[in-house]
Amino acid sequence: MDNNPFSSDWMAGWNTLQRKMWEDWSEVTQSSWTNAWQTESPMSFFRDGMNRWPNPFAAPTQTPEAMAMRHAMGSMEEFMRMGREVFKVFQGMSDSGNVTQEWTSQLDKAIQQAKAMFAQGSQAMFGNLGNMGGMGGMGGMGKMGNMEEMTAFMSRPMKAWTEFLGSNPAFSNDTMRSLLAGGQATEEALSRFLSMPGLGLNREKQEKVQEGMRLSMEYRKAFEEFQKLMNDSSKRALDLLHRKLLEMGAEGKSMQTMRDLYVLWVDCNEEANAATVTSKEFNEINSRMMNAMMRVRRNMAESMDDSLAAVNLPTRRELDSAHRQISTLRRRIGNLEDTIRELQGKDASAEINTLRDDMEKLGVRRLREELTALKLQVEEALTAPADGGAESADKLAIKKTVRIGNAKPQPAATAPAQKGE
Amino acid sequence: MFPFAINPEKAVEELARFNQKLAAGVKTFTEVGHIESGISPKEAVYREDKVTLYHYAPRVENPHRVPILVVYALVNRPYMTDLQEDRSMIRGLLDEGMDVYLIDWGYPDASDRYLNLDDYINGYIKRCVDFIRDRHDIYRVNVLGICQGGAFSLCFSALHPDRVRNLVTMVTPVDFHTPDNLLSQWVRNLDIDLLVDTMGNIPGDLLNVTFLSMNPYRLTGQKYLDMVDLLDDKVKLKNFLRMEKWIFDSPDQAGEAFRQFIKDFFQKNGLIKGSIRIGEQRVDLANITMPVLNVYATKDHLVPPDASKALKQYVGSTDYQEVAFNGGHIGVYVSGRSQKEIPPAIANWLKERG
Repeated sequence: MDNNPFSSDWMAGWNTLQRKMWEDWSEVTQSSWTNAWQTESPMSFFRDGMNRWPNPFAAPTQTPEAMAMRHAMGSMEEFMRMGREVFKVFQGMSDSGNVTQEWTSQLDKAIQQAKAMFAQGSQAMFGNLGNMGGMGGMGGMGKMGNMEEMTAFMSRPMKAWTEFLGSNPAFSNDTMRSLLAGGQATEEALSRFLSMPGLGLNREKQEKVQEGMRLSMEYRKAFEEFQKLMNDSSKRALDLLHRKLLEMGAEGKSMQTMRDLYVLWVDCNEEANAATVTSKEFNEINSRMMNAMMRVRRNMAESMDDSLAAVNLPTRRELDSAHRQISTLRRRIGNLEDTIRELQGKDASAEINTLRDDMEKLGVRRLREELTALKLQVEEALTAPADGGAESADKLAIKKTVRIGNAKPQPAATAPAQKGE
Repeated sequence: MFPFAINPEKAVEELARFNQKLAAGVKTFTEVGHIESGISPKEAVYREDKVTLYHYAPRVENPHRVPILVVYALVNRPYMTDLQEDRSMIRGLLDEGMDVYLIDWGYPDASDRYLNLDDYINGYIKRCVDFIRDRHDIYRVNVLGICQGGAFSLCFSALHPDRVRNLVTMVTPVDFHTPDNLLSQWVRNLDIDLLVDTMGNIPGDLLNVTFLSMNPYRLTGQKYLDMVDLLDDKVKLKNFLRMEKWIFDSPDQAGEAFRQFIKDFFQKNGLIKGSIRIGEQRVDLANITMPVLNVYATKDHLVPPDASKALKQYVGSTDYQEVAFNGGHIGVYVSGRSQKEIPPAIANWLKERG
């Protein structure tokens, strides 16, 4: 194999090796492991996670081992892909015959091309997303099935890298432009429909449908706003990468491994993401999108309820009502049980005990012990043989007091003290 | 200078080595065995609805006379406090002679959608505390609240100071509006009523994505690439998988409790303003007169240190101490270093106070 990193020979050899790795893997996975990750997008866990919760029929079935292995496979795939794409770009530089002098302009060109994809407005990276999200989120959370591209972008910087380099025709700018054009036309048609007044028997139904469409349009706008924000973040990540590579070049530093490049790219994305998600703008835009999406979902749920009620099936409203009553009953039972318990006197001594505990903490026990010791000394002094064994009434009184104050033989007095600890 | 000194032979070797590790990892995966949820022996001693109170088997002959009740957050599973033998806060407390109880909130479903904070604090926590009081014939227990469970513990201690002997809070948010509180900023403009009315219970996965969004590239990509380096070590891999299981084991949140927590705590910052009402009672942190130990993490990105340290100026206790752990929100109870530092610090502090 030629040792020139940008030669065709080297790339062919590298590709062959890579292909063999995947073939080996296919064999391994088919023979000894579930093929879940093999058939799906390897890093699709993020999408799966988001898909699961709005889907009432889905359930988490994967073990941590299977999930983690899938993720590792995904990482490997991206790692490999990164290598291929990076070398593809550098091969182009190499073919020009002057790597050392032209690399900065080639790099600048590649970065600018990648940024241009974001500047086109949107869905080059995010695709025709329904959304995804979280409260701090990376988007909305309505139509989860179409969020794969965005998820991939988030979770796979290397996929993003390859797409920046225009390697994926599925996300060409032409595709995006047509989608956007279609969206605008649809919006105009919807606006006309929404301006129609409702009439007759179906007036209410028509108004509900119109309301739902209006909410959907609002959500679409909010989501596009969010997309633009995240696109800007991605562009900042590219600028960072660009800057850091140039700095390395200027300082005479260089990356020694593919892993170094991967980590640098992740760092750039994280840095750009951190700046974005801590901004006031993000909070406002993300919240606007989430709120808009919730309005759409609520409208959908209400429509579904109406349909269910029409065929005499239980509705969400009815279930909510039942659940509310269950909670109220549970609460009442709990309170009644607490009341019964208190009436049974289990807590009757709580206040006294609390006071006793406070006294204990103030050192009363130590004082009591000292007092007991003093009394014992007095008693010993009084019972000393010097008086010839005759006891006065006063001495007897002191003895009695000492017995009461002596904690050792008095279980009635010691029990609360122990409880107080 | 061209900033890539990636020798082709070396690069192929690097990728091949990576691939070999991953391939070998399949074998390790098959050998790693069941991933446990908690390692210390424990017994369920009280159940109510989906809530279970566990009592851990003491590890000393005569454990400390006042039991400690661990109140964990609702958003994740409490076995994080007992992840593995050398990374278990529970184990550490047991080794220090503590008698440990823990509330497991379970997995709320649709029938729990109307559980509110009154149910959790004046209901479940209070009844668990009362159970322990009866069982041990004591009238005050020690309480250890973690994260959201710490906020709950503060409310409980303020409402029932006669039931709490000493209060320990760990990575607990108190002032929710510190400038560096990202979670608080994210929910500030959300229409929580709309969210809960629409979703009912809030899906755990939604919260997971929210947390992952703080470091999406590292947590969903780089972490797994790094994992490949562990694949030749069964013990390390199992430890990784334990954490992985915990991260994605996120119960749904009961809708009403979530609504109240986000609105009153996050949006209105009611804990320090004294505006939170649990049931019929107002939560006044000045009612917390028992000794307080506040443990926070200096690199906590979820509950920034200032959000925790605010507690000092609001509690009524004259016996207030802080422990600063040099680590993050999770590391404070799972890192090997925390195992050596935190349980002894808590146990000694408790022992000093009887």
